[in-house]
Amino acid sequence: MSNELMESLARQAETGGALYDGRGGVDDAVVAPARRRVRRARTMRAAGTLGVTALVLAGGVAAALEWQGQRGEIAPAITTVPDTLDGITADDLRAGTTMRTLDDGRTGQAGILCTMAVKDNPYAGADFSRADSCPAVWVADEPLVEVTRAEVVVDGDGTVHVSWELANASGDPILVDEGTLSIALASDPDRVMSGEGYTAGDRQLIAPSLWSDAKNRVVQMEGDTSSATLAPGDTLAGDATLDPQMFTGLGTDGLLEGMSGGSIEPTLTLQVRIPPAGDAGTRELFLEASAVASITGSMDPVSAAFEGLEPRVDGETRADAQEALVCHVGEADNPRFQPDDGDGIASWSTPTCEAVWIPGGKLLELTDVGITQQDKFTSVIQWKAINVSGRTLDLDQASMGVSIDLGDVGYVMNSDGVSVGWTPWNGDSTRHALLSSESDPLSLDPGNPIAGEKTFERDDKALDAHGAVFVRVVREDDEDGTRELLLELPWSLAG
Amino acid sequence: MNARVRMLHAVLRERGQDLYARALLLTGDDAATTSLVERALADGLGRGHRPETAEDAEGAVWDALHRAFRRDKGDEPALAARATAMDEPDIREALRLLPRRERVAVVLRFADGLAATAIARTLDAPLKAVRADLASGARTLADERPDLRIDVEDAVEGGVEEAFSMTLDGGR
Repeated sequence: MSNELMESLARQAETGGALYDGRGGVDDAVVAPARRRVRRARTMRAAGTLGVTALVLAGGVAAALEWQGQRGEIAPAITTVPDTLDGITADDLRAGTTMRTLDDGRTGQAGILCTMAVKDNPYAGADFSRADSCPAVWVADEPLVEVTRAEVVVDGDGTVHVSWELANASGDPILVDEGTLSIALASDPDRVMSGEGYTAGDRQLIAPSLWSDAKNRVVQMEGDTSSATLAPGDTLAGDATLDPQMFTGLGTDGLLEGMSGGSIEPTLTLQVRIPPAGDAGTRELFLEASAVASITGSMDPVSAAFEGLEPRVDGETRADAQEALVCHVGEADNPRFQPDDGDGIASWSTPTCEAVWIPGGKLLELTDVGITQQDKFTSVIQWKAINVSGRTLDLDQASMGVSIDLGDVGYVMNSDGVSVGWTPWNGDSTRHALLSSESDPLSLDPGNPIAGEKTFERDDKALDAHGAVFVRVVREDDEDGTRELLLELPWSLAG
Repeated sequence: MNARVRMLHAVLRERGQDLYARALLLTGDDAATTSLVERALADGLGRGHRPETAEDAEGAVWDALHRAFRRDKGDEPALAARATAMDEPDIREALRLLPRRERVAVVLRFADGLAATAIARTLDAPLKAVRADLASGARTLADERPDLRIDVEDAVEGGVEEAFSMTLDGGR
């Protein structure tokens, strides 16, 4: 042991303690930014691990998936008006609200009125954000706010840019909470969600529809409040970036492809909170305005490797097709396309991928899988597979990850290409996989084996678990990192 | 004030100095230190289940700080002006020679006295990688600062399984 190094580190540590003291200890300068981050982290609570938040909605169950932290960005709204806090408040509007239903055929100003205990109200100091399903209401006979711009641009790699503008269409100034304004893209907005669920990000939501049933709508309550007065005719404008991974979550089926191909024109809905005259209490009122978005741009054509694939669901078996995954990650989130940090050690990501079949029989077949406990802290999984396709397979032997499914254990440990813990399936047709930053192509001739081993933190539950090995397919257009195709080799150690 | 915020206050009150000290040791920059501590608080207290005890909360934030630093990529800011006595070389300059993952392993090994297995648990990292980081980091430091008399083998093989307590003077 180097006592000299220990002492040197300890002396240096004293200056860091002084930095904390200099900030005044536990006061607002230290706590306030941390509280904001904690609140944000509660919204993005799956960063780095797998997190699934199930939200029970009236009439069904929807799940909001949040994965690997911030998947999209939303820029602050730009207001054309000065911050003079004067205008119509929620107190002015609430008294005149009437019930709104999906098929009532009325027009006017749509709203959502949520009721909650003060301790659960994010605008009254509750330190968490929430998405909720609340009663839909009519707030006025004429629109108070209108969407005056709703534009969507689809990049070649599937990144989606949304820009919008909200105008005060009434004759009176309205007090709005621009800091918590959220956007939603709905592919089929005039029907009730039928259990598909939705995917939520940071003040962003993608869903077939916001109707959780014929009387209730989903609304997001996120962000830091920032009130402004919107005078008659004045506007709020903003933009948001949604990365392709966000379109792999629940309730997003076919939306990205549909927007890119021109078959879907989604409705953009802006939800803006109207602050009360005084402190936030037990009720929160949101105004909603929607418009069909105009779409420009399209995704780049896909490789032939992605053609002819058939949808697959969890637990489905077929002898005439190979289990596989399509991971639409976008190059920005593809570890193969990240800058090399030069340490020679692969980094791995755990994207959400679509489960598919490659028709025409099995390609790779596992012949051996085993887990051994190396010591008190470490286990090793070893596996071997044979090319049974009858043809040469181009595979990436550096990108072979292992998922060990322990069921509903409430945790996931991701390290070095192994994911151990919580079931990786998000729904019936999407699941998490593993992608490496490294690539080492191999042409595997028919009948030849490929093998691998991974070390992971010992977990005795793994000994009779089931899971899968993933092997990335090397394509002719491998320099395109928008999508990846993985062969999935399921295994089970149970019984 | 809800339970999570009370926990935030409690962690800062009990461990604020340690957290800032460790973050500054790792980053060498005041702004980066503040950002790292805030991220650690958010990661440790904002995600998943709320820790049940103050001790659990402190541990979660402490681990989160080191994990967040290890995950960081990109350029680092220049070292802030040295705060140690002028007659002693600044240890942070030597630490800066190490990539982040080696630096955090070396700091946990020598500032906290942890063994590689304990470091791997703290960082949620493979043991093999931690041992490699310790060996490489210790070797670089030994070459750069022979006066510290670093034993590379001891860096990899030594240390204890648990940190008993953390204090500013490095005692335990």
